[in-house]
This record gives sequence, C-alpha cells and structure tokens, in this order.
Amino acid sequence: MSTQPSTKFKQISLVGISLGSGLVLGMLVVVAIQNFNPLNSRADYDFAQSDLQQDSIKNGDYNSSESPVVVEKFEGIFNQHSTAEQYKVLYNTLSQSNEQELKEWWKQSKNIERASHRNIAQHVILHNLTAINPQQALRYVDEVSIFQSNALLTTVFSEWAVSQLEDAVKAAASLVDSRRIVALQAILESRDDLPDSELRSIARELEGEEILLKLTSDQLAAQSIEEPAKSWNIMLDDDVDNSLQKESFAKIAEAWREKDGFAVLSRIYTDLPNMRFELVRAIARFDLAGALAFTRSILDENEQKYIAMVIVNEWTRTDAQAALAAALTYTPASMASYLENSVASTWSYTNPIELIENIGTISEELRLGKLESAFWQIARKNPMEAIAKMNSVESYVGNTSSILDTIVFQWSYQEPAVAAEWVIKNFAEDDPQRHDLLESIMPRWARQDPVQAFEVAIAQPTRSEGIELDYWVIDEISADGDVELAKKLLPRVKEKTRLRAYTIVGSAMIAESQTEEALELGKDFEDDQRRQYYQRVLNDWASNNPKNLFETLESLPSSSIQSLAAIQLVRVNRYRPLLTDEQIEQVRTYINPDDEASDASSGILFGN
Amino acid sequence: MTQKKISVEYKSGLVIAGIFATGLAVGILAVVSIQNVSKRNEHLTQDVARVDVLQTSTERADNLSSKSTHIAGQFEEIFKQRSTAEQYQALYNSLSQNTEQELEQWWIQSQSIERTSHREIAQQVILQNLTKIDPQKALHFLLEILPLPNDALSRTIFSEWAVLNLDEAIEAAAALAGARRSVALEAILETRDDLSEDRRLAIAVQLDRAGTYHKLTSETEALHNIANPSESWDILLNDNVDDSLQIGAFVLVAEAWRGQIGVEVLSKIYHSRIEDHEIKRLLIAEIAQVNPALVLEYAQEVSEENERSYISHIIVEEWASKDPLATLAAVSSFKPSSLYFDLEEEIALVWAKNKPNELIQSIELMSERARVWPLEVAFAYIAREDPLGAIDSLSSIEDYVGSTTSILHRIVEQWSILQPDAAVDWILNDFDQEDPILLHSLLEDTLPSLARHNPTKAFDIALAHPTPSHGLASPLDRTIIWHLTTHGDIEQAISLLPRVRISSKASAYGIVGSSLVRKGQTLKALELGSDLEPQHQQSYFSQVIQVWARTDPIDLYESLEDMQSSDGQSLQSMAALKLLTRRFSYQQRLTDDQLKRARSFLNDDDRDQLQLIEKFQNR
Repeated sequence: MSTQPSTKFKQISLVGISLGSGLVLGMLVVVAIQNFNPLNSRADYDFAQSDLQQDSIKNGDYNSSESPVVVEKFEGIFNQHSTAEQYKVLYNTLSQSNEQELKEWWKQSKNIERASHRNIAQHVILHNLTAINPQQALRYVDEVSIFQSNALLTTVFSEWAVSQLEDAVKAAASLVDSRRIVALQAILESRDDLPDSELRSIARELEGEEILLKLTSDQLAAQSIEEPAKSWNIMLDDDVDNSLQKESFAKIAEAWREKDGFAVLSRIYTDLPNMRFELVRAIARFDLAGALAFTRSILDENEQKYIAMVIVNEWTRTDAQAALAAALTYTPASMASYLENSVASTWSYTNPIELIENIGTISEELRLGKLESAFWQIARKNPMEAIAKMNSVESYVGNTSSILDTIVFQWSYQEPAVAAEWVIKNFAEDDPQRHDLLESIMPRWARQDPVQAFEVAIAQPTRSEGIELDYWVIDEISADGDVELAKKLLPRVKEKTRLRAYTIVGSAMIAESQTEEALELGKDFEDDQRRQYYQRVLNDWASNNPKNLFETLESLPSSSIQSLAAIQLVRVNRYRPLLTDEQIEQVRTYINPDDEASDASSGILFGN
Repeated sequence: MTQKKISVEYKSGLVIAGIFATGLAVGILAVVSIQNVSKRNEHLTQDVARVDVLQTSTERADNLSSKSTHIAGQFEEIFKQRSTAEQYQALYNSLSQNTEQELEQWWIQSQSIERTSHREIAQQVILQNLTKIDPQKALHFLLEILPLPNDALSRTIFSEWAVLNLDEAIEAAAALAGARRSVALEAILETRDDLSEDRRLAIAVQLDRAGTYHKLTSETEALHNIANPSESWDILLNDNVDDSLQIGAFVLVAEAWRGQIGVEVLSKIYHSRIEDHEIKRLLIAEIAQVNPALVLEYAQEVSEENERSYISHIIVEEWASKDPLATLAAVSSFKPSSLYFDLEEEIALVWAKNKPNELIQSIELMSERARVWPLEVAFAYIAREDPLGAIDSLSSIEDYVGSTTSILHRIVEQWSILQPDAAVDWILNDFDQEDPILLHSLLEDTLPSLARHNPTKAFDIALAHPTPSHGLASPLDRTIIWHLTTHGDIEQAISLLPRVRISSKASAYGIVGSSLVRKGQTLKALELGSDLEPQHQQSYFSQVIQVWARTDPIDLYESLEDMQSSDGQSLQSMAALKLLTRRFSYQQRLTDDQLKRARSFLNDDDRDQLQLIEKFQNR
C-alpha cells in the first residue's frame, strides 16, 4: 500500500516536470528565434537600442561614421509602403532614443540620398531631439540645406515652445532677422493657448509685433472665408501693413475667384494699389483667357487698361503668340492697339529672338521700337551677334540705323573702347551715322578712360550742326565729380562746344560749392554768351541752395549778376517755396528793369 | 511479459512526450500572446487606451455615436502629452489601424478641437492615414470642409497618394484648378524624387505646369552648388523660370553668398541680370536688414555713382522705417551732395509715412530743401484720421517752410477721398475765402471726389465758382466732366454737358467725345457734336476726329463715305485731312491706295492746307 502513493507522486511529478519543461522551452524558443532575426519581426517597434550601443562600443566610440545598424534601420523604415507608416515607425523608434542615439541617427540621416526620405527622417529626429536638448537641435539646423532650414527651424521651435517657452524665446532672440521671424511664427502658432497679452509680449521681445497682428488677422479672415468679401475687408481694416499679408490676400482672392469668378480683380485694383501687379498676376495666371474676358466688362478705363495689360503681359511670358492673338481681338480698337503694344514690349525682353523671328505679326507702327528693345537684350550678351541679326529685319522696317544705335549704346556699357573702334573702322569720317554712334559711346567711355575718349572726340571732324563729341566727354567727367580734370580739358574743347562745356563745368562747381570759381569762369565770355552762362549757373545755384544764394546776393560781383540771380530765385521759389514772402520781396529789389522786361512774358515773376 | 513492459513504457514515454509537447506549445503561445498584449499597450503612451478593432460591422455601426465621445476623450489624452513629438506619435499609433469609417469620425471630431495648433496636428495625421485607405475621400474633406486653400494639408495628401498610387494622384491633381493644382504637383514631385527626370517632367507637362517642374529642378540644382553661391545664383538666373516665382530661392542664395563674401554681395546683386527692379530691390533690402549701418558704409564707398545711389536708396528706405534718426546720421557724410540730399529726402518720406507726427515734430532736423514734400506726405497721413487736426497743426511748421499752401492742398485732397462732402463743406463754409485762387484750387482738389459720390452737388458747386481770371486754374465744371468720363461714368458726364459754362463747352464736349471714340462709339460721338453751337463745332469735331484717326485710322477711313456734314462742317474733308497728315507720323497704317482715295474727299480749303503741310515736310 505505501508503494502506490509513491508511484502516483512520481507520475504526477513526471507530468509536471514534462509540462513545465515544455512550457519553459517553448518560451525560450520564441525569444531565441526573435532575437536571431531582428529585422523581420521587429521592423515596426522593437529596434534593440542595445544593438546600437553594442556596435558603438565595439567600434570604440559613438562617433563612428559608419553605423550600419542605423543605416539598415533607415532602409527598413523607408521600405514601409506609405509615408504615414514611415512617420509612425520613426516616431515610435526614436521616442525611446536617448540624446546620444538621436545624434547618431542625425549623423546617419545625412547620408540618406533620397531627399524626400532624408527630409522625413530629419524632421522626426529633430522633433524628438528638441524635447531632450533643443540647443543641439538648433545647431543641427545649420547643417541642412538653406532650402530646408526654415522648415526645420519651425519644427524645432514649435516643439521647444511647448516644452520650455522661455528658453525658446531667448534662443529665438539670438537669431538673425529672417530666422528670428520664422522662430517667432512657430512659437506663436504652437502656443495659441496663451493669452493675447503674453503673445504680444513675446512678439514684442522678438521685435515682431506685426507678425502677431498678421497671424491674428489671418485667422479672423479664415473664419469668414465662406464670405470672401468679409475676409477681405477684415484684412484691409486690420492694423497690419497690407504688404505683409500678400500671401493671405492671394489665398482669399483665389477662394473668391473660385466662388464668384474674376470680379475680385477689380477689388485688388481698387484696394491694394501697392501690390495689384503681383496679385492680379497670381489670380489670372491659371486662366488667362478667362481673366482677359472679364476685363472687357470693366467700366473704368484706367482699371480696364491696367488689369488687361497685366494679364496679357503674363500671357506673353508663356505664349506670346496666343497673347497677341487675344489682344488683337479686343474692342475697341484703341484697346487692342494698347494691348498689342504691351504684348510686343514684354515679348521683346522675355524672348527677343522669338520676337525678331515673328516681327511680321506685329503692327508696322510698333515694329521698330520693339525691335530696338529686342536687339538691346541680345546685345547685352553678344553685341556682334545682335549686329549680325540686323539683316533679318530690314525688310520689315526699312531703316535699321536706330537699331544699330541701340546695339552700340548697349555695347558701350560693356566695352566702350572696343565699340568705338568698331564704329571708326566701319563708318567713314563723313558718315553722319559715325558721329551719332560715337555720341552714344562717349559718356561711358569718358567714365572709363576720360582722356582717351576726349582725344578721340576732338579728333573727329566738326559738324555744321549739332553738339560735338567733346561736349559729351566734358559733361560726363563733370557729372562724375571730377571737376579738376574737366577744368583742365576745358581750354582744348572745340570753339563750337565752348559755351556749353563751360556752363556744364560751372554748374558742377556750384554743386561742389565752388561758387566764386564758377562765377569767375564765366567772365571771359562776350555779352550774350556771358548772360547765358550766368543764367544757367545761377539757376542751378538757386535750385540747389536758394538760402545760400539769397544770403550771397549782396556780395555778387556785379549788379547784372545780382539781377540774374534774383530772377532765378523768384522763378525757383514759385515751385519750391523755401523763401518767405518777405525774402522774395527783398530779392525783387535786385532785379533790373531790362531783365524784368525780358522775363515778363513768362508770367512767373508776378505769380509768387 | 517483457513486451508488455516495453509496451507500457512506450506508452508512458509517449504520454510524457505528449505532455512535454503540450507544455512547449503552451509556452510558445504564452510568449506570443504576452508580446501581442504588450505591443497593444505600447501603441499609446501612458494611459491612452487602445480601441479594440475586432468588432463586427454591426457592432461598429452601433458604436459610432458613442465613438465620437470616445474620440473626443482620446484627443484630450493625446494632447495632454508633454511634447508635440509625443502627440504625433500617439496620433500615428492611434490611427494607423483604423478603418475608413473610424477615420471619418476622427475627422469630424477634429473640427471641434478649439485650439488651432492641436487641430492642425490632428487633421494632418488623420488625412495622411485616410489617404492610405481612400485618398479621394481625404481630398474631398480637404476641398469641401476647408474652403480656404490649405497648402500644408494638400501636400500631406498628395505626398502620401503619390507614393501609394502615382497615376491616381496625378489624375486627382489634374482635376484641381489654379494654385491648388500647382501645390499638388509640387508635393508629388518632391515626394517622388525617385523617378527619372523625364518622368517627373512628363507629370508636370500632363498637369500643364511644366514651369513648376523647372522651378523645382532649378532650385535643387542651385542648392547642390550652394558651396559656390555665385554659381547657384547663375543657375537661378539662367533657368527657364520667371524670377518672380523664385524670390524665396534668390533670397536664400543671396544670404549664403553674403556669408561667403560679406556685403560685397550687394554689388553682385546690383550687377546681375535680374530684369525686375522690384526683385532686385527686395533682395538688397533683405541683405541690408541684418546690419544696415555696415551695408550703408559699404554703399558709400562704391565707386560707380549709379550703383552707389541705387543701393543706398534701398538701404535707407528699409532702415528709415525702423530708425530714421540713425539713418539720417549715417547718410550725413555721403558724397556727392546731390546724393546726400536725395537720401535725406527719402528718409524723411519714409519717416512721414511710418510716423508722421514724429516727423513733423522733428522737421527742423531736415535741411530745408528736404522738408516740404515729406511734410505733405505726413500731413496727408494724419488727415486720414483727423483732417481738421491736421489743418490746425499747420501753424506749428510755418517757421520751417516758406509756405504751407501745398501742404494744405494735400490735406484737403486726402480728406476728400474719404469724406468728400465734409471736405468740400469745410472749404465753402470754414475756409478763409479771401484768396479766390487758393479757394478755387482747393475745390479743384476736392470736387472730383465729390463728383463720384454726388455728381449733381459737385457740379452745382462748380458752376457757382467761376474760374479766377488770373493763374493757371482749370474750369471746375470741365474738371468734373473729365473725372466722370475717365472713371467710367460717361453717361453721367453726358447728362451734365448741357449745363456746362459757355467758356468750357467746347473742351468739355471734346473730353466726352474723345472718350466715346476711344470706346468705339464713334457715331454717338459725332451725334454729340450736333448739340453744340456752330461756333464750337469746328474745334469739337477736329478734336474728336483727331482722336479717331489716332486710335483707329482704318475705321475712320472706312467711315469716310458715310460721314454727314453738320452745319457747314465738312466732316469728310476734315477726316480725310487728319488721315493724310498722319501719314507723316510713324504710326501711319493706311496703304498708298487708301491715302489716294482719301484725298478725293478733301474740299478746297483742306486741300490747300495739306499742300502747305506737305511742302513743309518735304523740305
């Protein structure tokens, strides 16, 4: 009888041990299998952080540039079949990472070739890192491309403002202007739980009060967007400079257009004169034909002209021929001409070669002007190419001399000496066009090499009519402020140029407050020329510094000069009243009767 | 006996093995179950409960109404997370396994989230997950529920959609209009940067937005070269993209460039081939705002005068809006003096617009030549709020300018734009009327605005105030006619014409007639002339036909035959003469045959006149 219980006990024990062993072994098998194949079964959630640590420890430091584990993990993440899944995996993976690990993730993220994946990864990494060490996260923003940095700055400061508002504001204050504004915006948007007073205080601290006003206004406007007109008026009447809300106005205008068609273009024109150009373009851009059709119903001439002009200009940039065709169907004919002119102008500088090739489609009376503009554009890059192309348009305009003039003028900005050499080589001395072309070169040449330009100018034959080339050189040198050089060259100017050149230099001396010398310069002229000289020089003096001339009146060298000076003061004061009525009365006492008579027909002297 | 024993032992062994195997199986199942449970718990951090999705559809339908309360509660829990990263994580985990119906409920509930920042986070994740299941529905929510274009959510949807089903995403984008389509395309191209460039361009072309592709490509290329910002700059300049669409990119490259070469970047910008002056101005202003004093110092030393002037103007315009006094001090040593005066005036004008009262109080700091215009601007700004106050304040600046008349004009003109009745009434009742020329000129400033609100009243006042005999004043009645005509109220202008003073009749009729011609209403313009007395008709028809010949010579030519003469005016001859004399203008559009035929309409006097003109032209 004692044997039976012992056997039973053994049996029970055996059963228990078997069951228990099987249980334990089964558990161990599952764990062992999962650990043996980490990627397949832990792709979603369970990246073993210890793996990362072990690899780093094995390598001897945490800053190893090669971290195959992280790289593999990125691969696994971006094998997910949707971006939502990618974000989810990243957030879950990184939420458990410590700072060191996140730094390693960051380092490896820079090696992700595909930009869209890299952007996603870096966004989530910085998001998580900011929660631990926002200053480091901010430093990392400097490591990304300039086109990405604002987006990441927003990520960092949105998070930072939630976790440590004061620190976030302090950090934002240390950023340069454009970044500070981005940071401020992120703080204000993410901390929309704060009372207005606190938001205002933050905005003030970061010198961005208008940003807060803008955000508030935008939100109010967005709430009323079922009635775009209401949203529009909210933004017009707020305390924010309209120029800061261009994008918001554009959005509302777009919503308005979707609801009520292109009538919003008239509101843009009337309400936002300082940005009407960009907004009309933005709204019309995607349906230019529709927008242009709308303009036909506008009653106000100026408004119609303006809006239609902006539309056809925009159209010309993408399809000039279609824009031209549309412009020519406009009624009345005066508007069609106006728009055709506008299209041709835009065409000439956006696609000059295409315009030249299609110049026959433009009305004859417009051709020459637009060709000049087109050739100007080509000459900016290659003057010789422009010259070579002139032949192709001769049959459309007849005389191409003005086009050549334009090309040479443009050329003179780049290489005036070379341009002059070409002209001298290709045009005979007695060819009037040679003089005209050199005339357009001289000012730029005089700026670059005044002495050389002057020598060539005075070497050209003197014409019976018109201004000589040396005048232009003296004019440019004086305008450039080199009065001393101009004075030095004056004695060598041609006789025909003398009065003009002296007058120019005298005026320049007045501008430099060399008034006595300027008056001295005119004394060698004969009567009539002397009068002309002093009239001009004293007019400049009266325009630039009337008070000074008024105070100097008494000490001017002669009564005739005093009289001329007084006349100029009265004349100038009519349009720029800087002298009082009493002072003007005093000035009048210097005017001699002869001078008064010769100016009486202008009526100016009596009108003051 | 032994066999029996073996058999028993075998059976026992089998039983033990079976028990062991059972234990093994139970152990395996236990581990797997425990892990699944803990995974479920890990989906929400801390106390967020996971919804059991294993319900029947009937149960689900029944639970929807209680679900909204449940979801609202979950939102509360999610947004209690201490960081936004955790909030996103919680949302992604909550929503990733939801059905379409459940996500719809989340979406509906999200609209009740009061706090905008939370609502935006929630809606972004909801739409992203919904796009995985039913992108059309996600798009529908975006377009129907959020009428104001929301670029961020649109990008979210199309980024996801482009990965899941590119062709469908493209088709959906094609159904959008305007800027929405562009945003969708941008999201598709940015997300599918794994596609070949040809394919990406093809998508853009399919969506009729090749420009968007070129813009993205150009900016990517510029970015790759950013170590050499001048190269990036050239890439942006020389691409096929309108510079106005890339202002943001230009600003970023300019800033990188400044980091490399300092303020010399201003000269680079100035000399670059950006056609649009406004873009250039903006870029220079952006660079300048970091340290305007430093950049102004640089500008002062630039040798080329045009460049020095251009850059300086932009800098002072920006700086003066923040600190006009500092700006004023900084420009004081600028040469030449003409540039200094220009800059000074610019500072004053900016100051006047931003802080008009402060400018007025500080006006003595400006040199005399730079006072009047800025004061006009400042007082005009004040007049918007308090015109009478502005007028009263004029006395405070009398000692600083020669005359305040031009400033008074600006105040009154501004006043009339906002309150035309009040402005005009003040002039008539409260203004010192001893100076009739000044009174007239003030009415000239204000009556046009009044005419747009109350043309009859404006016209009555105009008639009651004849033009002073001296000075350059225009008749007020004619001024009103001109304003009404130009601003599209031509019918009103025509109705007032019979009341116009004799002295203004010809010119007033001429204004209206010319406008009718420009609008193509030539017959009406001719008929209008017949209302005039004979002594005025000659100049009227001459003016009208002149405009006709300029704006539509072909139409005028074709109308020659049908033109009626009026009270002795040979309109045919007049018209023919205009056409023939215009042939000397570069705008001539008639053929030689047409010109020849036009001659046949000339009467003797006009033929003689033409001969004189031809003689003069041919000498």
